[in-house]
Amino acid sequence: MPVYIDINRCIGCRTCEAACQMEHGGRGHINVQYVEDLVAVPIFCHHCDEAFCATVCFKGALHKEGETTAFDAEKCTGCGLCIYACPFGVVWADRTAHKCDLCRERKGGPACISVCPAKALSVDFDLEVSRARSRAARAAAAPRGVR
Amino acid sequence: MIRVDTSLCLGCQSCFNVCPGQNIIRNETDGRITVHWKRCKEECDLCVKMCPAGAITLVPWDEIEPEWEISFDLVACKICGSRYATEPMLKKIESSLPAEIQKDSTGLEWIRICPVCRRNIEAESLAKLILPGRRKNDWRCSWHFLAGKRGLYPGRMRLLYNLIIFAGMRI
Repeated sequence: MPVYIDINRCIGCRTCEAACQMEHGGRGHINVQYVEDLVAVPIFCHHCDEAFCATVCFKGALHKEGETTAFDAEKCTGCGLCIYACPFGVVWADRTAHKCDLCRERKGGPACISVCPAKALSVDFDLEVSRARSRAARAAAAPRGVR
Repeated sequence: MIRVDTSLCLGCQSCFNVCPGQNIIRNETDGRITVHWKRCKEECDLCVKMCPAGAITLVPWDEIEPEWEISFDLVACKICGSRYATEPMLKKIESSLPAEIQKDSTGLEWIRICPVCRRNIEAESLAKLILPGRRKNDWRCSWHFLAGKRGLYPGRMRLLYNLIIFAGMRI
């Protein structure tokens, strides 16, 4: 159950960053990147099927747990191998590694989803797909030459 | 006492993080990492257990045994040039991941790129689909920038005309 992002909706307000930092005691796991000042993309853990961070982790602190890539802070030595093994650069470390845990302790799902003012983040894959489809249909039906 | 196999050490932060007695010191100064193991009389073996490369062994206390120190040059990122990781760590990652996955579709070796640039690349590849549309709709990128948001209405025309005359007077 990873978090899905609809970048068409993202307004780049960085609320998800702040919420993630509040939830995890100042150590956030989301980065909002801006492309040409026109598109904002929040980058966070994808919970990959074949997780390289879990492959590299020699202590088994990062491991696959069903669909998610779980992190066990007690086993972590903070070696930093997972930082450089992540293809998206979303894992970082000070003493222990820090990575998206989908707010396991929080009631009501991940904090970033509940605070997003544009509703760009969700855990529902089908919802994202249906939104994208309807958006494409609306774009195709709109008259040409009108801004 | 700690003995370190200098050929195996990765230059990671494990032993430094794990050591309860501040006996391992790690300095990071402008693109160079120095790890220093002090002489340690403790009976614990945390650093031995936690070393990812198995470079540390415990030997009996010995006066002749030197204090170990290794320094590494950090590898520079291929895109931004900032120094981010030690060479043995990247080698270890390259050896533990499958070879076909280490180059992405553009032939870029992503392991040799720093995490910041990796995030940027990911953001650019995700934004690629909607970026042309956003550019088209952005009024700063179109002739609307000259004409004003509402087009070339009379007041705007007069303003442009005055500007041209003003520029002519300056010349």
